[in-house]
Amino acid sequence: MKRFCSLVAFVAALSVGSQTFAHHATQAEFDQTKVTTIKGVMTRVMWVNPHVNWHMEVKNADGTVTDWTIVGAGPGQFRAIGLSGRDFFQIGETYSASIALARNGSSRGHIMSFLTPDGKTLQIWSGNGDDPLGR
Amino acid sequence: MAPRLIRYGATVLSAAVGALMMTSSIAAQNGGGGRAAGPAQTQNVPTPRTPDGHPDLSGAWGGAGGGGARDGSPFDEKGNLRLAGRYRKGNPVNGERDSGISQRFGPNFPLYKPQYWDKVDFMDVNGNVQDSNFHCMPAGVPRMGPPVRILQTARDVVFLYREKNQYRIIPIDGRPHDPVNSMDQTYLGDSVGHWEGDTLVVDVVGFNSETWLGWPGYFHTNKLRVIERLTRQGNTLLYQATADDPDVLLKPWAMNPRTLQLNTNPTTQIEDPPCIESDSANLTTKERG
Amino acid sequence: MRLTAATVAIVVVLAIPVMMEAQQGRGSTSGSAPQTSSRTPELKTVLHNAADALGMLRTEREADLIATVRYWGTGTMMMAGQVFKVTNYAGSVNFHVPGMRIDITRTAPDGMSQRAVEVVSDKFAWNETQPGINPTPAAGIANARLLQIWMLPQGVVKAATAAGAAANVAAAGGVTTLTFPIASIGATLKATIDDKNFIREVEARMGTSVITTTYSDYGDWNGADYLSDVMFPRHIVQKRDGATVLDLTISKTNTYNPYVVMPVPENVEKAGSTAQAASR
Repeated sequence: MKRFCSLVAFVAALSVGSQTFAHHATQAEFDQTKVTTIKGVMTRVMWVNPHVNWHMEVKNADGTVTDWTIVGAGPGQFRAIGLSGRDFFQIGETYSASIALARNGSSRGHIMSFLTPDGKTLQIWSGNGDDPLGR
Repeated sequence: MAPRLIRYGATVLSAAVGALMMTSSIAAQNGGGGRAAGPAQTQNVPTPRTPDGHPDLSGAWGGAGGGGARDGSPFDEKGNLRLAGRYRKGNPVNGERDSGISQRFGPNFPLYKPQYWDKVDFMDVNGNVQDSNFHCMPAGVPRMGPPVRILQTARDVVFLYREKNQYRIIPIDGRPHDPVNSMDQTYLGDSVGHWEGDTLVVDVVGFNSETWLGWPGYFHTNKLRVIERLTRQGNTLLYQATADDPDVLLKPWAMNPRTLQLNTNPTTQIEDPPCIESDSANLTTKERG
Repeated sequence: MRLTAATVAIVVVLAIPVMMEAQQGRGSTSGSAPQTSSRTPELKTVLHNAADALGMLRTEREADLIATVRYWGTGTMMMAGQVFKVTNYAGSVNFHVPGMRIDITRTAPDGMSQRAVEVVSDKFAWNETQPGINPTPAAGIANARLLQIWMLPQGVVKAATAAGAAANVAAAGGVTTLTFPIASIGATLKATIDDKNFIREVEARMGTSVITTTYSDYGDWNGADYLSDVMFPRHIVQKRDGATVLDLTISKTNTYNPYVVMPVPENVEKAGSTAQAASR
């Protein structure tokens, strides 16, 4: 049976004082105003708390290879809408990822959207900027 | 090709309160979804009791109903996923900044002694480094809030928590603190319980000083003592905690009480351990929410 | 949309920073209620837009979630006809209580340095030698200190909102005037709001005094590593009965609802009740 459920990828404060909040410092690590698209091979998916992370091997224009780490929300949030690592993320396949870059210049980003090998768009984190992968 | 949705079977240790804050009040506003209703009947329900006459606190508490169909399915007919986050003006930066402001709103603040005001401020502003819970350590008592599942026997209650899959086994036969355990320094302290009428009173000492009373930098010492009060009325559980740390607080801090409904359809899982921290080294600014 | 053939496509998109939005007065473009006439704006709209410009409205429900604020600056102040150089001015406000603690370090014309810590908490006022230390009651001055809370930009919005139907709004030449009483302290305030919804001036009448504060250069002064989108003026000038009493340049703020408390000390509470008894 399909579950219809809306996802709150990041906690929005609904009332004060009595609710349980998840804690984030996404802003401290990533700059949402700097969005990049990378394309590469999925090498590892870690479906762990506090953040799911994907690892992609990206071939640069000069022929070198960079390992990128892409960070997202926790598994609980994805599980709630039925997004499973096993369905959408296949090791060895090629994905494009639109990511907000790490502030410290490392090869890390926060996921905004994925384009899967079979052409599906997974828009995971809505932002203010244009999504280069489109829909 | 329609996307397959994976269903996760209910487990015994199923949690209700997820990081999505899908409380029963939200479910009520959203009108529920395509699932069987979780919240139990609340009107005119007798309080279940154990053979010795005390209220039976056993059950899954909070988070019943899950999220409703607010925007419909996140998958479109072609199988694309579009998640609409509930941020002010649709911007997750706003979402996080608003969360930071909201979590410090009070108005019920613990009253620290003046000589510690600067320390609270430092802990809060530098929480990305100073908050051990943010780096996968337990939140401790009372910060982790009420349990999501309680199992009660004649002699003990077992509190099970969603966060980091933790538990506390608490004797409820009125015994005093163990002299050795109560002088230990642990994340969850040493707990003993006794009944005051229909209220279970849990007395907790023996804490380390690694945890905070709350997210906004509310540090404490290992002299912390916490009193938790749990009262079941029908299918409602009232939870209230008071933290006393005379070294740093002007007076005990009575935290806001929580009201939880019995969840008869707990399907959300406990948070899977372990918590693997990988962001610490890359946090550049002090923003947090 | 097809991807380019390159194995790595770097597209850097600069989204409009939220701060820029605020400085451009995003409040004025928010979904506000239609005006009843082209000249008189609705009070509710004016309050909403002023609150939004200041970054007070948070979460999807756009509720005022500003509880506390701290700000630090330097400048000059005038007391008893003399000009003092202020080397440290630290304001801490808790709008819930309502309470305020102002910690001033200043140099007198004769070169003597002094520190004054002035506190108000609900109906009680007292002075300290350091924040929270050595309280001495300051009878009769609570209302004057409370007024300072409600003259701050965020305070104006809160007090005007609390005034309900007693608040009035008028508009002329791109400037909106908001007038409201604060009955609890016997004051009437008139705030001037510019075309970007920022409060530029507040004139307060209490007793026989007229206190005017002007605000300019609004921004997020928390620091680039701690932005909150709450706006605060960088320049504050206060006049009393026409004479400048304070000229302050703000160097830093903490607008993330910082920890601010002002528990009433026992001796102050006792003195307060004594003063009430004596006045009967």
